[in-house]
Amino acid sequence: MDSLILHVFAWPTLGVVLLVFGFAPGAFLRLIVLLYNRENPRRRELLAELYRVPRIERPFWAAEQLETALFEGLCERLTARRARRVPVDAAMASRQLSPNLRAPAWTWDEVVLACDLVCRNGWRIVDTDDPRLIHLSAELQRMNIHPVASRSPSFRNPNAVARKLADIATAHPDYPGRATNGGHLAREVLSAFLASPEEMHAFAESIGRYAAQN
Amino acid sequence: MRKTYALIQIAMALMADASGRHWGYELSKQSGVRSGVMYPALQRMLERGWLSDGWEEQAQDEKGGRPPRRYYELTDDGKSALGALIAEARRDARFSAVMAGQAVRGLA
Repeated sequence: MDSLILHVFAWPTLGVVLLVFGFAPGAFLRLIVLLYNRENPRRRELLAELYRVPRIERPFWAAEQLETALFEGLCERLTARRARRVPVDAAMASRQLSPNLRAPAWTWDEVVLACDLVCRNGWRIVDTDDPRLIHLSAELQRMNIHPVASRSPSFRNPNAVARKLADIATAHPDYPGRATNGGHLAREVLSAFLASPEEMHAFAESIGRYAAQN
Repeated sequence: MRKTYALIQIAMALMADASGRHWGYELSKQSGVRSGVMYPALQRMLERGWLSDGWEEQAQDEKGGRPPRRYYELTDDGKSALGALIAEARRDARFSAVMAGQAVRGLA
């Protein structure tokens, strides 16, 4: 019995316990949160939460955060990297395959219609299956701003429209995460909406009416 | 948002105290959803305006020296959206096991 007590309270055992339940979870978690972008609040959040987790659970809880960081932080980083590369890849592909089928750039009128929908949605991201988004996609495809011959097969389809709406929603000053790479025009139209929402909404309605008549 | 077991469990945990503040670790325990699933769901709710977030003030921290935690609060939009989601799930046989599990936790 004495030897068992001596073994349990031996320095190496005490050292392992201190390492596993004291030092290691915090150190491991500090490494894990580096997977998130620097400005992502999850970095601070997870580190703060660690101190509320009972000490006995901390090693397991810290290990669990690896999943969170891989699926949230790393995915966010990879998506941001892909978003930076896609326009270049798409441009190269379109040049090689068919120079006439490049997606035409969004015009001011189109972005105003998109921004008006995001505004009506409380400046939040609109789901791809939202009926208003599908209606907008159809409206943009009907409009005769871009010659039909110049349109790519995915021209203003619900996915393309959803991406533009997300660009606008994430550029809004109240958006909690990181803005997508939405382009100058989206930010310009958003600023116009924020400065004079009623006028811009009326303008969007007049564009919609004009599109319906032609 | 796609209706999943985890989403319903988180929704029920949030709606159990609809006007209170919720913290990541406690919410994970209460809902029974592991944090790898819960945090992305909370992020989607934030993006849709169903939740608002903030950081506790140092004064709220009774045990000094600990960093302030991030909290989540349901917005009015969130209360109605999650209320509707839970009502739908109650009528959906696929979620009967989740409902029973949450009832055991005292959330249903």
